[in-house]
Amino acid sequence: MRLWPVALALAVLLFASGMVTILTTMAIWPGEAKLTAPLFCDDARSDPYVVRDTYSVQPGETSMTFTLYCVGPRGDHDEVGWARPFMALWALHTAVLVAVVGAVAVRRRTRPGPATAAAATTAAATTTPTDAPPPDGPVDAGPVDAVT
Amino acid sequence: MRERSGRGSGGTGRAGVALAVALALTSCVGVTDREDFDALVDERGGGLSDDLVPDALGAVGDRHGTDAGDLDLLQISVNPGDGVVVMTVRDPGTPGNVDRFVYRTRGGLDPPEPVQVSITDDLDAQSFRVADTPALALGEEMADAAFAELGFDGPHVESVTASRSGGEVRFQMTVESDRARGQATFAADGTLVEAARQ
Repeated sequence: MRLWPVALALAVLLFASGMVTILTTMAIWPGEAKLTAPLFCDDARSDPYVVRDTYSVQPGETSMTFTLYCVGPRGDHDEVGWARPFMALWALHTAVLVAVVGAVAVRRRTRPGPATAAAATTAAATTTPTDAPPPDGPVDAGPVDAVT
Repeated sequence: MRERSGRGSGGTGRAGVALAVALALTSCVGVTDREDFDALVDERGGGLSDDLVPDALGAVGDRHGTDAGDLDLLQISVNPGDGVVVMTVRDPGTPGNVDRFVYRTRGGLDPPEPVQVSITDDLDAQSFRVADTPALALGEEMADAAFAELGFDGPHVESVTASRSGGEVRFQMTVESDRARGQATFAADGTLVEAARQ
């Protein structure tokens, strides 16, 4: 029974990160694929380039494809393609999204809610500093200069 | 004050949307156009590396189930810019049969195409063994020698072709730059025989 919410959340997460990946890599920042170079480029050909090929499908319509290449110092290059960098970026975006959602969830849990905050405010207003209980253990007043 | 701040955030929002739309329409962040990439490859020397030809021969050897060094070639042509190697190879099992192989760095080895052999062709005289031709794995060194000898500004290797004629194996390397074109000839061991501008 409890698997359904988890599966649903996972599906929503993957869909959201997939959409972010498509939007980013295909429209806004295709060069993000260079970030995956450590996964696909070896030391001999370590310079990543995202190459754009533009095709005229029909008059007035243009199609673009992107390809990641790893280029060596002599111009020798390996063609990585696009599918593998895309999958790697999808995984990266999913991880980032999980981290963000997790951080927000933890912050919400640790932050006092409205009712708790109101009660704390009321308690602070009715408690004077002299009535406040002393802290546990000795009070650390910090280093004290010797009086000569 | 509220009205002012409202206008300010609206302007910022519109600017953000305009920037996003511009980026989406141009789709150019971090991208290199194909022409610029080809020019970059040429600027770096054309893309000839020591492992291109050995990789291609290794793929042919695997196809025949033999060591690449045991292959007998009739001709080999390398186009480093496209990462394509074309080899005319005698079948190790049936030396009278000749096949043409095309190897691509992206995509590997194409299926072999049979080559017609004339009754007058002397395959033994025209072929050369890979193991006896060290220059096949010396592409970078040969390119550097050709560049130094020709003295072009911004040279790159356009193609390399090797064949046997008159009993000698010769490599013909075509070197180009924006303003010149030349050819360098190498022996089977990679020694530069001659280089001349065309």
